[in-house]
Amino acid sequence: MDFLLQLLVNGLVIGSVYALAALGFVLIYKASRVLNFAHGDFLALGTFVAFALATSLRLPVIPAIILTLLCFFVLGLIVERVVLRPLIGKEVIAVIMVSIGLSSVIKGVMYLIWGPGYFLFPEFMPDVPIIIGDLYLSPVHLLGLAVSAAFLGLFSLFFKRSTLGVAMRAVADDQQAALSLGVSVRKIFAVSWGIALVSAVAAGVVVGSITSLSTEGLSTIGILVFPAVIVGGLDSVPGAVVGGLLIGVLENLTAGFIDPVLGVSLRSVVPFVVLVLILMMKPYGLFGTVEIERV
Amino acid sequence: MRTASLLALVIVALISAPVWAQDVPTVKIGAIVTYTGPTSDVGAHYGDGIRDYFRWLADEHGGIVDTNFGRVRVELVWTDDQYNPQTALTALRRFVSEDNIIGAITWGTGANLALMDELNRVQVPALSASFHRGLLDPPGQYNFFISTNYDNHMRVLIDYAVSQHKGSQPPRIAFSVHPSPYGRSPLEAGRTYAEQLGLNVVASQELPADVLDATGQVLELRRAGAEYVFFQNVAQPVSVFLRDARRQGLRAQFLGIHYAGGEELLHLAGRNADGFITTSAAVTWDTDVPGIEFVKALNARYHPNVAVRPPHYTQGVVTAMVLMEAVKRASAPTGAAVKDALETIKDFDAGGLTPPITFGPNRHWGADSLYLYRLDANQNRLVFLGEFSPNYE
Repeated sequence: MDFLLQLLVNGLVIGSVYALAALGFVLIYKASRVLNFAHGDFLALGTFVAFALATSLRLPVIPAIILTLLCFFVLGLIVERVVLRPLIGKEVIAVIMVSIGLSSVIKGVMYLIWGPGYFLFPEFMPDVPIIIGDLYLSPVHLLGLAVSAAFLGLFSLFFKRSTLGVAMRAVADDQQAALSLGVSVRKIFAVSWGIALVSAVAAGVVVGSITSLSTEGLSTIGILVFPAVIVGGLDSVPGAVVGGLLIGVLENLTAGFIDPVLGVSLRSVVPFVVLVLILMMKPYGLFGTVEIERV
Repeated sequence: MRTASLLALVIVALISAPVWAQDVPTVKIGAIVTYTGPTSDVGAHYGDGIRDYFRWLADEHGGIVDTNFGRVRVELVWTDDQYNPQTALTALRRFVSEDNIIGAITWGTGANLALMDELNRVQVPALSASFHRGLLDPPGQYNFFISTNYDNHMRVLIDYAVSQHKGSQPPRIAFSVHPSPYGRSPLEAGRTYAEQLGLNVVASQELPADVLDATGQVLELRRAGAEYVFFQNVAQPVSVFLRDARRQGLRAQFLGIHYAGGEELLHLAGRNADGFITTSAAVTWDTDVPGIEFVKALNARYHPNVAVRPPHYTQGVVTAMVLMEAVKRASAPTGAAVKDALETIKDFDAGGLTPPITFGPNRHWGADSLYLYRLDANQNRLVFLGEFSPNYE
């Protein structure tokens, strides 16, 4: 029982990070129907920038992270303006190819600057386990969970209450109708990219403080986000959260219960198996919009 | 008149300059190493060691060496395989067809398994960083490595655990490996050897390189009461495991093969790595042997910002030295001749950087012994435990 509980708790922590990373991916898709294959690389780049600010410029960790989040909001606006806007109205495949290209470029830049090694985020809280009953909880994990939850809460408030948030939902719902009501679709696209990169960097920093920083390790999270967003439904924000948590828990349960029996690691495979099963029953994901095309 | 003769002199000089250069033919060596992708954290040190050696050779001696087939200029061509066997195979084919390489230095187990048939076909010997036993099977082909195989590394670790064991009998042991041909390489030998010694193997797990959380694995081992955990993996996933082991209160002795330990693990895992036992094919940075000064000078010359290197850098330098020794001994500038020359190398001493290296027609592993170290987090260094000669086969 403790075993199961411990696996569930750790699964939820990792799942909340996936949810946060998935959120940015969904935001971009929801607003502009772009599948951003460079999402994991932006996540990695942001984490490294925060790391560089904290170590090379010797900023305290928290201000370094906040500064990075601001920078990446601006970077999101720039990327949208310079790279994506010229592609509006072009084939979807062109946009996908550009995002794959962007991914290679970012990865190359990171290898050039930081190389392939592993780096440690400066420790900013003690890592002594908190023991509740038979449950071991680590402060860094709990902080990760809290940060992820805070960001997710903040975003949901933003979409429900703020004018900009409502406008973003309007654009996602029906671009033509939103345009005719005077919503600036371009502005919404740009803001979506800004917010998406902010959530990616937040997720990256959480991962970076839980484990370590490496170009390869961090950008791989971009791939792990895929089952999360597809299970949840590509265009659903709550879906991203549920999908992320589900994948995190599934990974840990697999590692705890299935791997020991087989002696091989299936933790990264099982999420994809579940993905296929769910898509067989619900082709648009758990919370995705069902699209009906009449011919 | 004076201008004309000066012009003639210049023209003569220009024409004859390439002729002088052509007096010394060029032979090429290919390095297919891993600078990006999985395991590149260790692979980059190995690659740097190889490249720095050939840069030094070019800068100090113009790449010129005297061989049994005359004086030649040696040139290194290299590429990054991104830990992708297919990329490695493409690179080898290109190096063979375009550069006519007469020897190769390679990295991972997966890549080398993919290269085996091609190396035999084109008759180019390769020294690999992988010590996978299967690479030398059947014996006498074109694969070589400088250490003893992973199976023997594992047996030394098991022997060490048994020698240190106090308490309940039999000792309860577990394996944790990378999910790849590299990780699984010493698993079977490890299990068989443990059973021969009457040990209780309570679990065998796989730990991916990009793991964020190893709680599931750690809890399973805690439940199974593992007392010794043997790793065949790179430093990053091991550091995640060690962190979660401490958090979850798994009290076991952790031991790892060559690429698991080293300075990289100390850097990543800090005090969680204290007491970790690792095997190594090469000496550590602060070991006092004659050869280490040269290795340190190479690193200082080409990477003045890098203060300390793990043994994998030294391993790269020694691998390059061994291949160059074979080139010098070769009877002709061909891969087949270099292979024959490699097989004549006996008790090659790289200034004490590795145990003596001996190859033969049916012996393509270099050393019969390996070093054992304990990671000391307080002193932030690796403490030498001894040189072990596993003689099991």
